[in-house]
Amino acid sequence: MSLLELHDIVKLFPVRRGFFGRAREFVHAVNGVSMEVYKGESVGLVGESGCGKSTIGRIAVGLYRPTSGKVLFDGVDLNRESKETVRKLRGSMQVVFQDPFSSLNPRMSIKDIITEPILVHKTKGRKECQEKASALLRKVNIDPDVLDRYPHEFSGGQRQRISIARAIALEPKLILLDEPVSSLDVAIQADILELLKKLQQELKVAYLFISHDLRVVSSLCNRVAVMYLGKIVELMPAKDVKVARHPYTRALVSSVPLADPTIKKGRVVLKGDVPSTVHIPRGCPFHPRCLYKEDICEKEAPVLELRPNGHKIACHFWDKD
Amino acid sequence: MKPLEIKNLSTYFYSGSGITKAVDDVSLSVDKGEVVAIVGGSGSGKTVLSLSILRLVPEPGKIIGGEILYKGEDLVKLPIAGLRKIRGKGISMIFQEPMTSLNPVFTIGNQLIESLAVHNNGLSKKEYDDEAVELLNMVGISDPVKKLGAYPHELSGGMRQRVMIAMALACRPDILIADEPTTALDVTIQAQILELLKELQKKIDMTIILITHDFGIVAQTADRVYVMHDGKVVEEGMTVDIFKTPREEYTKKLLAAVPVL
Repeated sequence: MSLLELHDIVKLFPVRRGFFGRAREFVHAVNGVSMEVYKGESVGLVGESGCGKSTIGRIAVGLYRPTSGKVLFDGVDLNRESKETVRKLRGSMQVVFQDPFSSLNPRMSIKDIITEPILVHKTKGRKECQEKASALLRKVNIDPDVLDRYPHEFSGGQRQRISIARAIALEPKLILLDEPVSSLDVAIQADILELLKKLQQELKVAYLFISHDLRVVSSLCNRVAVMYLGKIVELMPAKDVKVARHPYTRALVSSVPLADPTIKKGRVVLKGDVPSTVHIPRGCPFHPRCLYKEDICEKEAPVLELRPNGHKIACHFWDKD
Repeated sequence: MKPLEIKNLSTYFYSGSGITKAVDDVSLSVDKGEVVAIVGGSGSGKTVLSLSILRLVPEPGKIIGGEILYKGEDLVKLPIAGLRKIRGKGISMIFQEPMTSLNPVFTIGNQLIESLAVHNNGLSKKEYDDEAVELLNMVGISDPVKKLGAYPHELSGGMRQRVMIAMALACRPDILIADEPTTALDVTIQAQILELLKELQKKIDMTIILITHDFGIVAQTADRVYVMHDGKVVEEGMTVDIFKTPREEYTKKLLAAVPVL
């Protein structure tokens, strides 16, 4: 059964305002995204900066309200229920942010940081908190002796473990991981990914994992959604990433550096940058950078459909070589 | 003669709580036209090593011993005036974060021409502009004439990193030190920048010292590798050999940590 359902989500941010304060131009951060996350699975959201992956994540946990569309968490519509109901639900959705240096309050001790969600949601009394905090730290492989220390005494990797401890404090059903390893070096990255895998098995929690690194996503997730300019262009099982069909996914795959100096692979290097999200290209949003572009791509936007290979792909020529 | 040879270099940081040996008795050498990677995790001393080469180590860090021979001249002993002639022209550097390395209140053109003017003064405004346009062209920035008047915030991360590279190449250096040039960028842009560096290296025949923590990037770009750990070089060798038969545990750990697709 699906834990989180997104139905046709659109999110616009106003950028330029007219004389009377009416918005005249919008950033189209998310442009009609539908997807679901099942209980206990992990779904990766991949794309370049500005493709709307973080916005989707924030909408999914109710930090943003979509301009239109429906978000169902555990069957509850986040935008129709009262604030009180949504606040209670927040306990079952937690977030780990990208930057471990700004997502932990420097004036709070580790114990306060980890137990804050417990106190807010009143799942335990103050006395039990100390014990719970120690147990949580042990779960993320940090010595519980450090409870009275402050974030600045820890390295980036350790801080991210502390963020994870905070996120699992309420035993949530869904954790949004917004680029949790991008600011860490590879050795520490690997440790954190191991930890996340272990915790998922123990806690049966679902992950929505946002990253620009396909390698990281495919090593942790069951399914991967590739986003481009506010749309999902391909949704597939993570093991299929190498045989992806959408030209954008293929370009992403080929830009991944291969850890083997003997293979000099032919790269499909994408030219240029992502176009502005204020003026999204007509037709298929990817056509200005696509190697296989034909006339129809400029006129008609392809639909995200389930194809015979089991992927959902939004491309007119997905089966062409 | 080798363009750069470092012998027994040590850079220590002195603080109230003791001495941190950021770079500890490191020796390495670089051949002309080579791409050499210095690989290590955070805190391994790779960035301090690269800053030491140009004597840019911030306080309370200090180079306490060793030699840095650039074309036979010891940079450690060189007076500041002599060093200024080498910074930017002989050895140049690009930094990790293109967002913070450019000055937000000056145009791209301004900043490019500044680095040009330091080493070639007395050109006319037009000559400087032409040279700046050519540099932007070289790093693959479209519509360079217009971009000269743009401010850093108007450019994307990839574009800013290209501008940084253009600035570093302004005086056609012999050696380019690239400190994690792609860490802050998306994979697609990362691929573009790495291709660009390789292409430029062939074109103006320079030597690149690439500093990174990602063996994936090393495999695709470097000829030779030094692995650093706790301020020391723990292993060195040709890229192919290091990948095939790593000797040190730490190298093996770093190699195993690279996520594969």
